[in-house]
Amino acid sequence: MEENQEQDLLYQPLPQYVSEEKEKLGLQELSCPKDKFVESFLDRHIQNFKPNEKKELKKSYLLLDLPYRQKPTVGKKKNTSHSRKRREKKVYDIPPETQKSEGRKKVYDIPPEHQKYSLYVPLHNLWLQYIKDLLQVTPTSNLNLMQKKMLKADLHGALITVCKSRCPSYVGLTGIILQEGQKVFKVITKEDKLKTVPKANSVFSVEFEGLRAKIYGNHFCTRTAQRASKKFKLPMVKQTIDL
Amino acid sequence: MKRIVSKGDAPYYYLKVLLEFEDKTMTVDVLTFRTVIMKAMMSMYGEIGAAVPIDILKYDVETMSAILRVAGSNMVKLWGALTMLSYYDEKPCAFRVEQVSPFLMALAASSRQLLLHTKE
Amino acid sequence: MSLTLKIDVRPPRSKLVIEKSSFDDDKSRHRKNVEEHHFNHMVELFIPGCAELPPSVQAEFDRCDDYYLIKNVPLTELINKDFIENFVKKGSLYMLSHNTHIDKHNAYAVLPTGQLILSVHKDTYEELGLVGQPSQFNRKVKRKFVVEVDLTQDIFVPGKKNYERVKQGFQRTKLKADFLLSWKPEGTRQLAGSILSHFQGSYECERHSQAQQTSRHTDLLLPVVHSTELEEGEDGQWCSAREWYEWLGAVSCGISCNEAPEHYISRYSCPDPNELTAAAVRHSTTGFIAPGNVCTLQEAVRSYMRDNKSTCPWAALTAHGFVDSPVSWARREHGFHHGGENLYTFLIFRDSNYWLFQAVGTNDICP
Repeated sequence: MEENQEQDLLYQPLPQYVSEEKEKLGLQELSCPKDKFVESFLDRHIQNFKPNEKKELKKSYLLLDLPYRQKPTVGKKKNTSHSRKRREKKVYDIPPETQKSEGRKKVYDIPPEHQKYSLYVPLHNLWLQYIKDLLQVTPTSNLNLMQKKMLKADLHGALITVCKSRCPSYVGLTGIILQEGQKVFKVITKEDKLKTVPKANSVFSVEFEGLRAKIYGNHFCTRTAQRASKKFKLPMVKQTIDL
Repeated sequence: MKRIVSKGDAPYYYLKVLLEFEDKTMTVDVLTFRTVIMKAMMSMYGEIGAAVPIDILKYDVETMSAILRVAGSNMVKLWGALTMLSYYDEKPCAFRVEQVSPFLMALAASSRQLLLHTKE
Repeated sequence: MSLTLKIDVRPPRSKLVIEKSSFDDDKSRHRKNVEEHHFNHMVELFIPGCAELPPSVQAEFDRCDDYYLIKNVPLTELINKDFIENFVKKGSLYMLSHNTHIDKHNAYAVLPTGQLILSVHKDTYEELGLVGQPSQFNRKVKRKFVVEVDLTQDIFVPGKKNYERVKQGFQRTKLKADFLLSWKPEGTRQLAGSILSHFQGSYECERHSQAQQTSRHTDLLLPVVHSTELEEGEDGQWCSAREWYEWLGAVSCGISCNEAPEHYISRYSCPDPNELTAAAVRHSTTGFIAPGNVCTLQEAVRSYMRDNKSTCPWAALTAHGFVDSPVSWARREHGFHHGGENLYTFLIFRDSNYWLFQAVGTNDICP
């Protein structure tokens, strides 16, 4: 009802006191149809008016009661310097609502209730079987061939020990590899502690099937997937086994 | 109570050396020994090198071992010259430098050499 | 194309400390200096004006304790609980690895304060897993590391983390050495020989006594020294301390400096001014001498110089340290550069004054 009343207000005739003074005010009634009047009005008042634009004008609606957005003035100075610094550093802000980045951060974390050594012993047994199948250890097997296969092998689930390290506190650390990053091993020890061991400047030893393999961490700083395709050149020209 | 600390270059360096000839029966007297040293310095550093004052404080003819004294600034030159000598008078020989020290007292004992007898 | 080879002809740096003090002075460090110099290889006494060594002094020489050589001892033996309780914590234990050159091999020492000092190679250090410091000498290339294990700590017992870590480190690296051992029990309850019985069952042990040697000089020229003046006298009245020290070194090496030989051979002679003495005696003992013995020897010489009416103007007591020891005085690191010397000499005068000479080589910290 109110809407109808508003609509009526818009299309109501002029009030009486105005219509009585028509001649004085200079108001004339339209002799032509309303559309044509609008066209000619626009033609007169808009520069370079083209009839095609009329259709476009019909489409656009201007909201005259747009709320005025006020920028906060408090802490304005801080914001500008911070933003300038960020621009200088070329830091791109990751919007907090991006599901992709959030998922990527959290999915590789192991929650505390899962940090138990006993849970991963079956994983280790699985790895032992995998490595047995991969290397096919026999008393007469060629060690060189085994070494080459070992280089490409996946180490998740292997039981490693740090036997040498430039940092003395890492030496002696034993555990099952849970995650292998580009530069670190995430290892769970028997005391149910999740340790992050950097690969660089360390020598690891892996035991299986009565054999012990020594892995020189300095040369192993690649992701598992990359290592499968990487060629290890022998003899080592650029790198040494010295830590 | 007074204390004098002298750090840095010592005025004299003392070397305990042994001259070995390929021919084991050969021995030289102290004058010849001095000449051998002089020839070594001459071949390495020339006339000026040969004129460097070197004192033979002690010489044992049977073992051909000696204690030499040389100024601190010439020590490296002397040691180098002794090392590089391989012939004297067309006979193959070599100097073995056993001990070097800026203190003569230190040459009186050497725990590396003297304790060999306790191994048995 | 000409190449200019630049040879560094500077000699290696060494340190000599000359101290003048009196035995009666409260701040005198004569005892501390002797006690902190843990490993002594040779002790020599030179008394001019005497034909024979005084009996009191000779008795002290004879009383020097024997030492043992124990072969192929693994380091895990040194952290054995019984060993620590019975020998490290009670009495003074001195142990030094034998025939290990400190610049080439790993060297180990047990100090009487209960510290086990390991001077190890970089490769051994990386495998050992114990935290240590790189060597203070040649810092640019970290080739040697020093690890200290305190055996007397209360928490250093089997079952505790620290102990187990040390034990695993030793087992992993399988470190072994021959050790020279000297143990002095505190009090009279324990027998000095009980340490031998501890090792005898499992390892080859040898017992050695100090080797003594006496030599007598006749008609010897002595440099004149003034007990309170270290520098050379203005009118040539007395020699400087440094000249005297060189002369004493010559005597110890058996060099006769009475007459200067031909100029071509040598230009060295006894420093001026000097006086002739009819007789002098030089006695030395070589082996592995505990500082306690050196202390009693020093006291005996001091009392002899104070009381006696003999004609000895002074007496000189020298102690040579081990060239391959990881420490020189107290826990100061020691290395072998060209000589590895770490020795000291006491020049004891009749008026209770003394001069102390401490000589160390290049790879040493100034005492």
